[in-house]
Amino acid sequence: MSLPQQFKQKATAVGEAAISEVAPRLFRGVISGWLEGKTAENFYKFVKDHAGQNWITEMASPRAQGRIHAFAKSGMDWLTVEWFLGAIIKEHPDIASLIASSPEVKAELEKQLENIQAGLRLDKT
Amino acid sequence: MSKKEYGLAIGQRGSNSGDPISEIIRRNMAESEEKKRKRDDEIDELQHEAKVKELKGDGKEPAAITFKPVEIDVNEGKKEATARAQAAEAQVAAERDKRLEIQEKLEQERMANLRSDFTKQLDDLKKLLGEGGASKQSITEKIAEVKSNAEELGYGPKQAGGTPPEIQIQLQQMQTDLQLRLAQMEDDRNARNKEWELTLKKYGDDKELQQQRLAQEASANAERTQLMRGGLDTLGRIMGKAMVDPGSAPSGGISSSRVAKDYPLEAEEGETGQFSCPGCGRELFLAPDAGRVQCASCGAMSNFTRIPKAETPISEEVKSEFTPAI
Repeated sequence: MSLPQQFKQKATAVGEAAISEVAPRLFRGVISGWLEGKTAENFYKFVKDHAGQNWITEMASPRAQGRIHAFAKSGMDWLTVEWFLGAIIKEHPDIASLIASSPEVKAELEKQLENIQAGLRLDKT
Repeated sequence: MSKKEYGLAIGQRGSNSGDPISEIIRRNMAESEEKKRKRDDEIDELQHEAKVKELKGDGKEPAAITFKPVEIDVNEGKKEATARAQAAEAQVAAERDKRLEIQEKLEQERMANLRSDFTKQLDDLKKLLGEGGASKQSITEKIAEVKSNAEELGYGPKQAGGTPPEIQIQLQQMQTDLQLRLAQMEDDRNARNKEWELTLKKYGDDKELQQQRLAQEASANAERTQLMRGGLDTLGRIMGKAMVDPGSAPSGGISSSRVAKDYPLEAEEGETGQFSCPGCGRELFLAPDAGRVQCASCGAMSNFTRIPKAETPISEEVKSEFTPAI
């Protein structure tokens, strides 16, 4: 392997490692902004009203979505319900309690996160 | 330059009988002298014969014997003999000159060799002094060689007249300079060795310090990365797990650090709405399908018992209204 190739490989690895650390923080910021001022009741209503729809369009501005897509190219396996709860538990404990207590809301959230991941996977390909 | 002049020029070195070149020259000279003597003898003999012939020509010849008269030109024989003698002398002189020339050439070459050898040795000595890496022994050997060469050239103590005082002073000065130089070299070497040892020690210390610092930085980086990578995510996982399945909350997590009390509560089936956490008073939301709600702030568990919706009791008036009158 030539030196430029080695450098590229190394740089790619380092870059991906950095992105894998940055992407969750970015996504957490997006969620935090989206849930700002929302109560658990609002969240429940949103879930009921947007069942089967794509939340990401509601959650983030097109610009933020573009960023998430760009960063998510290194993989978003970390985007799970557990991670989501961990991300909101400090600022929105009531919503976290709601998600944890309601199987319906939890299932919907799981579906949404899977959709987001699937969409990003499609973008990646 | 004649032999005598040459001998004066090089300091009358004829006395050294052990020199093979001088021996060869002497032998050649003896041989040439021998040859010259022989030729002189031959010339004398020839002259004698010529004289005898001349005399016989004037004397009485025996009458009994009759020979055919032969005319002998005595003068011609004399001339021939003289010419031959002159030719022989010339040849001898030429040979002598040639020999002397060869001898001179040999001496010159020998002197040139000695001079070049002396110059080379001087250069070597200078080089050694300049480099400063020569050992004491090698320099003294060089000096001894230079001395012997100087003697060969006629400047040595073996000379009959003794070493000139200027040369003695120069030699003495050279020796003193050399000793001084050697002492300085020794001092320099010691100083350099000490400096080198100090440098090595310093380098070792620096390297050790650097390694320690690098190790500390590496451990700090690793710790920071670990914190960044897994800090909040781990917390979220713990909390999420605890909320989804309170029984499986790992020990040491937030839920277990607080005393998670169970609060039995009642709600109708499908009932939804906000309620206050019995533990901390935070507003929580009860989903219609939720049975157990754990407060994410204090960890208190609200166990809702779902009561079937009670049928609305029919009032007596309505009852009486729809009751057919009998």
